[in-house]
Amino acid sequence: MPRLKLNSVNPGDAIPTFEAPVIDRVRLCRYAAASGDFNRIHIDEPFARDVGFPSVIAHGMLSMGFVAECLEAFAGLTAIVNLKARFKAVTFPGDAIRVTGRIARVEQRDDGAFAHCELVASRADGTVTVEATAIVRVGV
Amino acid sequence: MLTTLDRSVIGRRSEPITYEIDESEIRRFAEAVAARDAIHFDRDAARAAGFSGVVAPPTFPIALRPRDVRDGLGIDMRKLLHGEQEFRFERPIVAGDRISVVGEIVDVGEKVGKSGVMKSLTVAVRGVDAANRLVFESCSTVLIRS
Repeated sequence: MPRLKLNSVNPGDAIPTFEAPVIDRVRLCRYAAASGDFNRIHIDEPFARDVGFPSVIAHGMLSMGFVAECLEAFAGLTAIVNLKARFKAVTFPGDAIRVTGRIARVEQRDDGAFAHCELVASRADGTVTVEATAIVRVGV
Repeated sequence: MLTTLDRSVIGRRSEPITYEIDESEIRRFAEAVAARDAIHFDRDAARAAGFSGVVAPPTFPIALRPRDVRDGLGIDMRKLLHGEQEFRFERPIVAGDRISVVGEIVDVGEKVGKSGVMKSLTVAVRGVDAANRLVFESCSTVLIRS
């Protein structure tokens, strides 16, 4: 059963903020191993500098993972139908990513009711790193 | 064989590759993305929530890599940026699942970014279970800086 109910979700409602742990190089190594993305730009400091970054950069997918955690905590895993992210800026070790969001609209269809959500991941300085949209099922 | 990255590669599809999903793999991915719900770590918690085993977080399908449809396109990994990523979920992935994935190049284009014109490459992935039922579809767009 969906965690959210149609009569309790409204456009503009805030999604509780998710504060991710500060990103460090160990997490990038763990994410590389867990995801199979061993692009050196995430784990090899000389390589990253050679490419023109001041240090290694985090996997965009790590931040999308944080966005998904924020959404899951709000709506429940099985309610998530669709999740789409656009990567807007890079993230570095030392960055604390915060995910915020809101319900954009609620839709009733023949196959059920759905909340369309908008989420944003940002660094502590306010730079938006990920813009995401999601569709979650809500109970009628 | 080396070919150039242009629209002629649209439709190029990989051979399927099958992954047996085990509990420790899901747990490691869940730890990496700072998942909090016990259903991602603890078999009993997952079962109490109605799943047959520990449950993968939503973005776990990214770890189920298709055979690389970009092979031979001469893409410089140093210039690759992840632009967009989308997932459509049919059902959650649980430990014990056997998922086969196929990747297909669905678009090649150009985008104007901060650093000039970039080529874009979009790969769609379909994951099906042992009964050949759809589990997820994903779509990934990478940008290649010039």
